[in-house]
Amino acid sequence: MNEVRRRIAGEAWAFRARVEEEATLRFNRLAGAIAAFDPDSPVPALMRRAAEDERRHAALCAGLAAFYGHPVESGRDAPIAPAHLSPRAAILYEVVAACCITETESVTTLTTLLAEALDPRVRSVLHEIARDEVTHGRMGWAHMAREAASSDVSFLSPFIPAMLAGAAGDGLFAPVDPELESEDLPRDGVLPHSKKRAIFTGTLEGVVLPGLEKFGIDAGPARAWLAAMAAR
Amino acid sequence: MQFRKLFQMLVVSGAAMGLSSGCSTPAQAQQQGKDARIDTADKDAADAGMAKAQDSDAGTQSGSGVSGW
Repeated sequence: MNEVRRRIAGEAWAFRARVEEEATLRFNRLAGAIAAFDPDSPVPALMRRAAEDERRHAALCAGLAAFYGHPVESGRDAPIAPAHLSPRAAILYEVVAACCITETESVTTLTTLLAEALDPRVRSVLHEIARDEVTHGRMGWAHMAREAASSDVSFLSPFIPAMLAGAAGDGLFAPVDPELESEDLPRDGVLPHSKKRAIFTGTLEGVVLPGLEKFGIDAGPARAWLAAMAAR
Repeated sequence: MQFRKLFQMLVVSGAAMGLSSGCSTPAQAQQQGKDARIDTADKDAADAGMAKAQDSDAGTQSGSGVSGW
């Protein structure tokens, strides 16, 4: 393996280790908050289990980061909802951002990677993580369904672009160096940049935005954001 | 990628899972002395969030998202 591939793979797995650790902290916090206002909900128990899954995933990702020679930074828990939202609305905001968007995107990324020719140690890690991510995505849609059954959740519509911008990160819609488009990257568990962008966009259009619309959330602002990003 | 299948697997199944036990209706929530309805967000702040997201520079004041894979 050349040094460029090793560096790209190391950075990717270290980044994943950090976001998985952050998910552990977030899911534990959200589980307690949801149980306080919706004691009959199955979501808090699912979130506590998911937090344990994410702790295990973080260790697996850190192991691969170490294999590729890259250090892992610690994750931290930071609420992400706008400060002016009520506590319950802020919880829904965060569940939508973390689960309905990011975990749903993770499912498609993992599914795509698992169809590639992979290094055996990478395949083993991806398999173990993929097993859990479907449940993590579902628990977001579960909470959304419960909130939509008792309240109007359409207020979320203008906030979806901020959630998408955070999920996409700074570079997803920007041009990148040719090394990030290498066809050799999937072997180490990394998608070429243009493929990653296509999967992100396809998942939004095929799953996330129709899902939000199912609960009465206008996806117009999100589609406008996506169009603006694609036109860059 | 079979997005229709994923939609069923995640959105439809997730919603069914959420509604399989007692719902948090406004009436139930009121009986429990909890916040019955989700407050509507301030529209100006939401519009500001949209504008900031267009710049890919959203922060906690206007909301942000969660990094993933």
